[in-house]
Amino acid sequence: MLAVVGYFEPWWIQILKAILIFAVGLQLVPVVLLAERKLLGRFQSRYGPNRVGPYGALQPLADILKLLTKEQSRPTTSVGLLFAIAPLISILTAVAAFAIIPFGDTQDIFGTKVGLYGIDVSIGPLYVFALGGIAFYGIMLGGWSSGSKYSFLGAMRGAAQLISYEVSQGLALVGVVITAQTLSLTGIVTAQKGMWYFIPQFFGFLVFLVAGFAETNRAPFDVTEADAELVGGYNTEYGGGGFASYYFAEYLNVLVVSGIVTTIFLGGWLMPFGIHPPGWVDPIVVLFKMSLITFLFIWIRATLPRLRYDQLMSFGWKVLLPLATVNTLVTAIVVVAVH
Amino acid sequence: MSSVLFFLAAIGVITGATGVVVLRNPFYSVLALVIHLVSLAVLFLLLRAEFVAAVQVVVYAGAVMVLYVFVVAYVGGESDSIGERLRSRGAVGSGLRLGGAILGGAVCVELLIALLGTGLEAINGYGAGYSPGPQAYGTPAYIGKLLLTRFLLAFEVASFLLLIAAVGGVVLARRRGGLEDEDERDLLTPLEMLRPRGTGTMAEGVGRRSP
Amino acid sequence: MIPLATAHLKGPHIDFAGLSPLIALLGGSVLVLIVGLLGSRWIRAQAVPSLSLGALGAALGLTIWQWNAQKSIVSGALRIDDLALVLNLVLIAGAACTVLLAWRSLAAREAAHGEFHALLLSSVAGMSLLAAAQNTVALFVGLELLSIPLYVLCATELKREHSLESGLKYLIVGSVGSATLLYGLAMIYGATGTTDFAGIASALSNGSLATDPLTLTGVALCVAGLCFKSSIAPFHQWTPDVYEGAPTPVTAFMAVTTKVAAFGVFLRFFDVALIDTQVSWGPALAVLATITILVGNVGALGQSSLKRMLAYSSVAQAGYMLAGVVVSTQLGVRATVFYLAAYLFMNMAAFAVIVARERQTDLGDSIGALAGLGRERPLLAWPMTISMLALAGIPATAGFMGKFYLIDAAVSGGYTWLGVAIVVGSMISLGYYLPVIAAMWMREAPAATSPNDASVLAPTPGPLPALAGGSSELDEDGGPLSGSQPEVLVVAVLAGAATIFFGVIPQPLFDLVHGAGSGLGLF
Repeated sequence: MLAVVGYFEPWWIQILKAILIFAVGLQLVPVVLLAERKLLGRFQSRYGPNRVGPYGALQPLADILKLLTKEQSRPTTSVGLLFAIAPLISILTAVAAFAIIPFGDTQDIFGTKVGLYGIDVSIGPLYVFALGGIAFYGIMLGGWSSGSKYSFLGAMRGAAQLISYEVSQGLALVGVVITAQTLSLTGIVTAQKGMWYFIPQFFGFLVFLVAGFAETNRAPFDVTEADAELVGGYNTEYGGGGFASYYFAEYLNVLVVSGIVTTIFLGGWLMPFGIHPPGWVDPIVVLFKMSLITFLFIWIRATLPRLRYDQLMSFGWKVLLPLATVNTLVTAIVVVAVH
Repeated sequence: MSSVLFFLAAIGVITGATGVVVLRNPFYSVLALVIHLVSLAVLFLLLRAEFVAAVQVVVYAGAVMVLYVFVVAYVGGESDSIGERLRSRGAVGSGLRLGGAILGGAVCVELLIALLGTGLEAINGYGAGYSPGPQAYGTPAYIGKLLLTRFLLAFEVASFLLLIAAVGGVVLARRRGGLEDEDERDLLTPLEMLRPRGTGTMAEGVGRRSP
Repeated sequence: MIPLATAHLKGPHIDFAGLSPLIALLGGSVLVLIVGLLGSRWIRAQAVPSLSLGALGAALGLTIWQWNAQKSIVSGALRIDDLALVLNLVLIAGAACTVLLAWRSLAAREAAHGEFHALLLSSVAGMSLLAAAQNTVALFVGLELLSIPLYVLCATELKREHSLESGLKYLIVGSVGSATLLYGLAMIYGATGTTDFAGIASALSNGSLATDPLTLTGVALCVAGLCFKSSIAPFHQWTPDVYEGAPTPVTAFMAVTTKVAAFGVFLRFFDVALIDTQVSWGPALAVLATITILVGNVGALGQSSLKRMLAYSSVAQAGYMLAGVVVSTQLGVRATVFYLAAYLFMNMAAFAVIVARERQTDLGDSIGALAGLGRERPLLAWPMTISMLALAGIPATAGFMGKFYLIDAAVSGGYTWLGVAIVVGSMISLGYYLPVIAAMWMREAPAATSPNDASVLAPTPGPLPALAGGSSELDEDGGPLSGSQPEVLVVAVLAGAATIFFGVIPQPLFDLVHGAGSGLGLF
């Protein structure tokens, strides 16, 4: 029922798009997985996986096969139904959030206009935040229903982190929305024709990126799964498919954040210097920009040590949030002054 | 399609709401409330109030209920169910529950009379047609415009209300006799505020040596 | 490109003059909050209440400056007319008394002075907003701004279990009331399609909408919600517990000002927006008023806790005042507003004496704390006596004039039996007001109940006895400041004097409320 702004697409295109998006997401995750392991190896002066396939290219496939064929075990203290549902929630929200990333402008395909994205909702980023809010339950329920202290503590940390950083993340976007005067993601991209927003909205960009690291529970904010303290965090008790689901959701979330950053701050499918390539290049541009951000994710993971939990919280509330607020305020004043 | 969605969401709303009351374990009650709120968001979507739907999920399911889950997960155990305590009070407890049920039923009947008996035609018809566009009814732009023009005062006062609610929350949460304890404390100079407190050692992390 | 980018939004005209009392209150609230964080103990304990009095004074001045205004401001959200302004005066006077009563109270100290007064001022702002609201959205926001600080204020004696319990009870019951009201407002919006009072009135005036079940259910839910707030039976059960548990200055504040705000809404919402459904809600409210008068007066009989007794009494008084709403005439509005003003004086006098006695004895608010007061401290005994007589409606007090006015309104509005109910209720009420007076003048001071109490009860010369460690709370906090409490005495004496003054010479108050009635467009 989330209607498309501006035009209607035939139902069969919508179904096709839904399948395509899921497929693309599913294909991208192993690539990111491999890239991370290879790059981490390089950063740490070792080879990384190089046994399965040429240059270790089939390693993620082997990983997935291993995880899926493992025995699914469940602690006796766990709560059955919730234990099973929790990874599903995580995966569902990650995939649903992926649907909103625009890979290109509307194109003429087979005589119908098709937008190269799942949906273009008028509420734009709020949709992502709504799904982020539900994603919390994936982590929380997974940790709680495991019936293990490590899982529970990891889940609690993850939840607290999620809601703390979501505030700054949302505020960081407000600056962009004020500048672009629209919430629609394609609208935000087209509004960046003159200048990509990471220049005028540099602080918003920084805050969003940092909060994005925290939202996806990635280093240096990965206290949720801090192995030194919590064994493995909220997914300690999961093995096989459940663990694979959480893993999948985590990396898909990385992709979603990269996609949102690309769309909102890096001009989406736009090329610099006013180059207008044909429409089919758009998705490639977006994917390239996304891979840059993903590389940044991996780079930072290899570089920075993990923050202590209280540092993480005070950083979120005392540094990031004021910064985002000031950014919003200044943007609003500038926009009013310019108009 | 929309009828199917409506009935799915409506079932979710009602089961969720019933679950909150009926379930014994507070944790499940909270989860039922989450289901209720998310289903409610779907109903808002069906009414083409996309913004309200998103805000419903972001604010209620994503923030308010998270705090509930926090508290219940930390504090409430399975043995400590509310229903148990009510039942253990014997006659009073069951009387209260019966009275509550009767009152709830009466309110339900009254609301049904109101909704079924009304002469308003709009209730029986379908909603307004869908008109895409940034200024259409229910979009963020439209709501924002209303908030800054027609409901400006309510909007501004609501912001103050949030501030004062936060102050109230701090007053209650602090619970250590105001500021008198640390009487005549030194005012921090700006330089001291910038300086990081503590050095980040593990001893500080576990609170053995507070910065 | 999206067309919105070029669309320029024109904000509504904001009449800052009309809004100024509200701004003074909200600004004062923020100011005391900040000042409360600064500096030494002296600043916190003395400057903060002074500043808060200053903010109230500014609001008072601005209200008087706006006198005789007749305007809708901020795109029709508020109506600044004599009714709103008179109620503002009463609210500000009530809040000022509360600030004085709370000057040395444990509650303000425990909650930190800045926060306590910020909450107090914002609550007053909410009430003032409520009294002027003529849009259901502004009404609801005002109601929440009134309630939320009050929930916290009730719990500000953080170390006393009853205070916390009172806050929690008030929170839960108040939220139910707010939710009910909101549901009702939503239904009225659904039926009429507008949130403005004038729009609702015009939608109800043509067609069969005024008898539509949807509208009537909405009205019923609104009545229930507002009855929760103004503690009208059968929605009053929270009142005694909350009043008893809350810190006494807060109780005084709550007892007086929430009633003012709630009746402000009753008058404006029911007598303006819903006037065409008066046939439906009039009799219902009349029955509620009668029940309230009976329940309140009977419940107050035999209460040993003064605050509990006054809580039931306030329930009964709410019943009296509802009579003025029911008749929905100009006379009714005037009578209600007059009674609200009188009610302020009567209750403030009583609560000031209770506050004083709570600090002087360790009997708390029980009736025994007043025993022998007449001989010991006439300056405290007289205001209490006057207040009790006025609440009972004895002639030559403001309470009598108020009740007389209300009965007059009820009779001329065709609700003679409601007038009879008021008289009967007043008769019953003597059964619990007179024992208080008897305790003060006829009973001897009780023997010391605790060893350290002896010094307190020993006759001390002068109206302002220097106390050495009375109740446990004084022992705990000590300090020379706990000894004398001139500001409480001032409140008691002034409120008592005003009660007598307006009982004998009611004309100034009549003139004041005269305009309030004529602004609403009633007969």
